[in-house]
Amino acid sequence: MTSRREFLKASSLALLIAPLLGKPEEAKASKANTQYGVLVDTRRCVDCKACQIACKEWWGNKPEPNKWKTDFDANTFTFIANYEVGQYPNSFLLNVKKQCMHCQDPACVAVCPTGAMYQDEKGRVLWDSSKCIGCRYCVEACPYGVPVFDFDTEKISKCWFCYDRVDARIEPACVSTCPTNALQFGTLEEIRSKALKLKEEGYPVFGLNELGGTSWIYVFPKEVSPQELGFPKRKSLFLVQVRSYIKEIGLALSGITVLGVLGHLVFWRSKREKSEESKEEKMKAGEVVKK
Amino acid sequence: MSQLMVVSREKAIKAFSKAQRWVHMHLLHFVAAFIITGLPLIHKELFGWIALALEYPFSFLFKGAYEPFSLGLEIARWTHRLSAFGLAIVLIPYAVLELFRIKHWEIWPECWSWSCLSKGVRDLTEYYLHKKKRDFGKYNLGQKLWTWVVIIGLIWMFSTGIVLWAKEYFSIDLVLWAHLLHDIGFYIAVIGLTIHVYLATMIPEHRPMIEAMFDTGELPEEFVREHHPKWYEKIMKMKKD
Repeated sequence: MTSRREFLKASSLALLIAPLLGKPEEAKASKANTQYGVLVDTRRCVDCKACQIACKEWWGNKPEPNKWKTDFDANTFTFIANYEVGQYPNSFLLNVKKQCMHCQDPACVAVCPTGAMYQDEKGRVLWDSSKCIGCRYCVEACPYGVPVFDFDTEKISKCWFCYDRVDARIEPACVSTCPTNALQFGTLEEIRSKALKLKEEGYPVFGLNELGGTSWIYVFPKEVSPQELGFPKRKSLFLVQVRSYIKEIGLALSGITVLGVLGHLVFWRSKREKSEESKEEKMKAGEVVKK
Repeated sequence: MSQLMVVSREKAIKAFSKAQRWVHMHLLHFVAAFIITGLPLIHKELFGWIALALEYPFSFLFKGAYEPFSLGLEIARWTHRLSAFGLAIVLIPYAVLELFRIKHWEIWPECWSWSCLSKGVRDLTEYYLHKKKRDFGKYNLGQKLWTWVVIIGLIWMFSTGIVLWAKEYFSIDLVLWAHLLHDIGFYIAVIGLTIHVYLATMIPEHRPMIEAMFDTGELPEEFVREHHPKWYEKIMKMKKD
């Protein structure tokens, strides 16, 4: 048995050594780099559009005086899409909030030539206005059709995952305003485990592994297949992938061509020298015969 | 001296017209501009420095509008587009001119059969890899293929380029396809141009071709007889007739 004195000695030593091991710093860093996610539970959405309004309010985007927006535009980072699901009499209206999915492996970041579109250490897909040249490569690449080109500013525009609020430990504007708890914010780990649980219960889930996984994970009623609701909207990732392969193959083939050409140069010159030597030899031989 | 010049002029064969030489010269300038401005867009990791070099002279004009690298890419993009516009101005009248004399093009296949094609390929390997003389016409199979690659490639790059330039008027999927095809065209151009420029400039025996394309438009009779015997015979026959 250890005496009280030995225990105190050991614990004080541990306290002294612990900071030297650097573990608390690591823990701090991992906390700072925590990835966040949102669970979009479409079963709970009642189409109140509070999220749409909260988003516009927070980001100072123009309101929609006449008609609710049903697609992304420079002033609409999020909107509710309505779908009629099932067949009469067993049909119902499904409301699906759409915004940037904040992919784990974002195609928009991969194709951005200037590095304006980037994924930060917290897994959010953000963009830097001063770097954006409005080339719209991200618009082409996004499988969900999220980034839109703003013809006024000649730059793109999309959901920011309320990075300023999240950094200040406040939920994104849309989440905090949702009255039915259809939007649930948390660390990506928490959100993924919630989604997995629902998947095990038989609910269709989108975003766990699809297209490399997303930070915004969707849960649908059992009757629904996410593909029918535009998850993903376009099959652009295939072409984006093909383009990246083409780039690598093209670069390799160009390099091989340059090497081939250099090889041919050496070969041609050596042959030339040989033929010149043989010419000279012949000349000499001719001279000898003449003599 | 003057006598010598007269002799050499008599013994020369016209290979390229003034229009052809002029267009080739401008094609060279514009294609160089396309490649220089396209490289930082397609391979920013390797050629991003080109964008920064392009940005430097303009950095005073557009101060604060963009980050330096982004401004460089924007300038590269606009130079790329203006080059396309310039090339179109040069090429469209020339294409019309060439279409009028389409029957006189020397790039049509001499015969249509597999054996003919295999003979063409064999001739190419014999000439380029074994240095043996072959009875080529004005253009051998490789030169003909390259000319067709240039003609089809220009149409290919212009049409996909227009889709990329005016992308708001086309569907996103079409733009994505155009992007892919434009990329593929770029690598075909780079590979083809590497071979074309090498064979034209680095092989000492081909030196007269450079003079013909960039200076006189004429090839020495001796060169034509040695490298393009079939064409030589054709010209001699025409002269006799």
